Amino acid sequence: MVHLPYEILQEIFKYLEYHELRACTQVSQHWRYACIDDWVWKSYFEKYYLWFDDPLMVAESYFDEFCYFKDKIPKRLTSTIDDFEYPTKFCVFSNDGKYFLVTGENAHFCLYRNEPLEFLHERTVEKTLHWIDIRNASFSPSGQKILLNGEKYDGSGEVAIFSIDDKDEVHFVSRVPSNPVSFDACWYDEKHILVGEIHRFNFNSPLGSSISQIWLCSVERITSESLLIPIVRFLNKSGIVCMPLVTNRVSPRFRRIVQLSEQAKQEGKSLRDKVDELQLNANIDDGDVTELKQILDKEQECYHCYLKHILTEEEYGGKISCQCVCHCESQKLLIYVCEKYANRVCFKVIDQKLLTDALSMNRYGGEKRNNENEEREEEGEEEQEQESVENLMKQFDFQDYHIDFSGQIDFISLAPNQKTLYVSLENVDLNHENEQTGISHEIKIVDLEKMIIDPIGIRGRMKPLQRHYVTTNNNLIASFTSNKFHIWSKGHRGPTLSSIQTPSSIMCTALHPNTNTLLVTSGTKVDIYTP
Amino acid sequence: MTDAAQERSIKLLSSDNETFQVPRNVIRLSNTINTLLQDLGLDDEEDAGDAIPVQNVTSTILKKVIAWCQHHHEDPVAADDSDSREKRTDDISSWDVEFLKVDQGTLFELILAANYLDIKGLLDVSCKTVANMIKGKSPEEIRRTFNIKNDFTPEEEEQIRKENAWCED
Repeated sequence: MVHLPYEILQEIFKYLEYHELRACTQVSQHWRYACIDDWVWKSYFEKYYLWFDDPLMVAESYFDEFCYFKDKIPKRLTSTIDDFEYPTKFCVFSNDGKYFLVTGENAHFCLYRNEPLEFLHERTVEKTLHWIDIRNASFSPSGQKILLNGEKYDGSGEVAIFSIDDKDEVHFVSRVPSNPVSFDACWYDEKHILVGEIHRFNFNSPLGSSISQIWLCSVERITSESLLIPIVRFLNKSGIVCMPLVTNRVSPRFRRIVQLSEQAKQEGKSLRDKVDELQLNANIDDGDVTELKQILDKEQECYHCYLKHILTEEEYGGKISCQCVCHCESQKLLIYVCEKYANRVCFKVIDQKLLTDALSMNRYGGEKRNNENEEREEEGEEEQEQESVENLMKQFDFQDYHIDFSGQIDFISLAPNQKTLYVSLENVDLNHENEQTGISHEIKIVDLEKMIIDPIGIRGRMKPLQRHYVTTNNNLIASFTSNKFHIWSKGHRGPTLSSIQTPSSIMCTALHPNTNTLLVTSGTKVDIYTP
Repeated sequence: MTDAAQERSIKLLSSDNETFQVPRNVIRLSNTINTLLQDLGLDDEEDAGDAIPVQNVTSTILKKVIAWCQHHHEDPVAADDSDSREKRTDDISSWDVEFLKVDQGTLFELILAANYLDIKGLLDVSCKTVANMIKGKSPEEIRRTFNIKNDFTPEEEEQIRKENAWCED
């Protein structure tokens, strides 16, 4: 027969679907090499994803990459745990994927080992802690402790900590109130958590409606009061601070901007002035944003340090420890949701100074107040009034940055590498005449390096449910509607890779951090889906 | 293009030395010939001059190619956004379906000729025809359809088997 050259075969392959192309790779050597060519599969990426020449994430060729996201995603129901005597609710994997936890009605929770699947522990905290419900749960960074957020019979919130010992036995460690119930305490580091407290004003104030106090709390011995330290305090105008998350990563650019704005405040200048100064010193043109970004990303850190900031330990190939100025301070980023319709995600840098001040109970002008009183006597009345408002405002923290969303946020979750934030929100659909046509659910992606909403994002509007969780690992994003779960590619974004129907209504899903295994709680069971 | 130029005809010489007289506005569908005529400035000449050799195409195939161009030369020019368009294979006109009812060897030679002469319409429609012959077939059925020998080594067979072990059904 006539031998068709690669370029002609590829012209023909353009018209074939995925399965037909897979068949072509198995015909002969000549066909195979024509078929697995990047050129052929790049056009497939363009067809299936919102593709902008994305780099490869998991494979070495576009053929392998495409097949991975087509085939190696959770889609087969491989096992079911169905011996629960109560409806299952929340599920979550530990960060290393070794354990997973399932909660159920009447404040039950069960611990399992993942590989091989093994039941380890079950208990209810209904009687012991007087909880009506476990709202959600999370593992500590090491995966050896469990934090449960619960609601008590009296409607107040409480956090309980359990530990897992070497023999996989679960022990109660401590508990502490956290309010409001919807605050949902989180891990600060391996030994501390952040819990909430709310003070509602019983009068109308132009300043706000309530105060949210966030406490840093040791999980080891919570009984002693000294181990509860007020760390930040926010004045709520409307709505309340909730859903906190803490990351160890503060992107260099964001840290630099926060630093600049603090300097500006001290020097009585605007941030714009500081940026202009920076541009002048660095000798770059006004309006050259690309170069300005580079300067912001790199200033005050050596190249190795820069690498350490952008790489994980694994990528860097060694432990990340550095004596450089940018590593002297331990910095964390507090992320939380607030505002009346819970439509704002706020960011607050917790740096060494803030932490030291908090630990020595020195925050909110504790020492300075006496000196200020002496000075005040010499000033006029008007200035006094001005100053008293200023002093009052000094009692509160403010977010360093915020991003507003178009709908109510149900849930926020961090990517394992802490570089991305997933925001699950309910949107009001408007038609062209701005009339409300319905409500739908969406997942938005926030790039924590650039502090912006990913302009490409993933596609797919879901019917709204009472509950929404988004779960991610290094490659995939998963969420669910009432009886379907949906999988997206994290790097290539675009529309769903798959949507799989389940027999009964889904309560929650959890993705394994490494293996693309998906847990699905529904009815009185947990289904485990694998590639 | 002037009327005179449109009425002009061009001589093409097949690989087996047969000469074909083709109207200028019919052969304009071939980008290769078009570019050649423009580059050599032959468009302005009154006389068609020497025949243009089309080395890779036999007289049988060249005759069919010219017949296709004859039928399609008055088609509206398609916008050049074909890459973003949906890749359909069920939109082949009935005339083209009849035209392409030929043996496989001829079909492949037509594709090669269309590619060499850069006649996009003919290349598209003939590739679609081949794609339709592949659709819905297993690798073994494809081999039989096109008489292709399975030349994978046992190691490669094993790799392909592994690759497809978890392939979606």
